[in-house]
Amino acid sequence: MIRVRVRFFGSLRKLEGRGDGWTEIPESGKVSDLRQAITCSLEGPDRELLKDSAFASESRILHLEDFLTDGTTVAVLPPVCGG
Amino acid sequence: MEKIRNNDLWIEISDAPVDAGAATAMVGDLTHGASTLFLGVVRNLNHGRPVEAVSYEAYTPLALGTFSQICSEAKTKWGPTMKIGLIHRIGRLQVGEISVLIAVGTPHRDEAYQASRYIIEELKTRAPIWKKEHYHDGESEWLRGHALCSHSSDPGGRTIDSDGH
Repeated sequence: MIRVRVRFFGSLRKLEGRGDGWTEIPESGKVSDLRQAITCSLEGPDRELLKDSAFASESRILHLEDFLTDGTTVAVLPPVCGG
Repeated sequence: MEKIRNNDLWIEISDAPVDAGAATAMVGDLTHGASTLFLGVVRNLNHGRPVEAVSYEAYTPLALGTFSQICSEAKTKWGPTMKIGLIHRIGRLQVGEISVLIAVGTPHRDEAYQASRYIIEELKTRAPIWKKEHYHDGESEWLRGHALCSHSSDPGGRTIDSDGH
C-alpha cells in the first residue's frame, strides 16, 4: 500500500484533516483508486459532491488514469465559483 | 499574499483589500490607447436572500497557475503587447468590497474589452476558488459552481510524485 495526503476545499473543507489526513491505496494506484477509497468513506451529500469534484496537484488537474506515488499530496476540488 | 509579477502581468491572490489605483497604473503604457477596469463586488442580495458577507477560499498554487494560463490565452488572442492586472481576494469580505479586479491595457479599446470579458468568464469556470455566503439570518452556505473535471483534456497515465509533478 502507499499513502496519499488528501486536502479538501470549498464545501468539502470540513473533511480536511479527517483521520490523520492520509488515505491508503494499493501500490501503483491511480487517481481513480484514490477517488474510490474516498468515496467509500463518505456518505450522503458529500459522496454525491465527490462525483463532481476534480483531483489536482499544485500545478494541474489530474486525470483519473494518472499514477500516484507514496507521499503525494492530492487536492480534492469541488465545483468552483470564483469572481 | 501570493503573486506573479513581470513587465506585462500582475497577478495576486490576497487577503488584503484591493488597491484598484495601483493595479490600473500597472497596466498603463504610452503605446496603449485603452485600458479597462473590471471590478467584481460583493452584493447584498442573492436569489432574494439578504447577504451580509462572502468568504472566499482558493487552492492558491493552482489558482495562480490557472490565472497565468488564462492571461496567456488572452494575450495570444488579442495581442502580445497587452498588459494585465488580475487580483482576487480571499477571506471574509463585507458587502461592497471588491472580490476581483481585472485591469487590461491594450493599443485599442476593442481588445481591452474582449480580453477583460474573456478573463472573468474563464476565471469563474476554471480557477479553484470557492465562495461561502453569510446571510443576515445567521446561516451560511457554500455556493455551487462549475465542475473542473470537464476541463481536463489530458489523456492521463502520468506518474505524480511526492512533489506533485
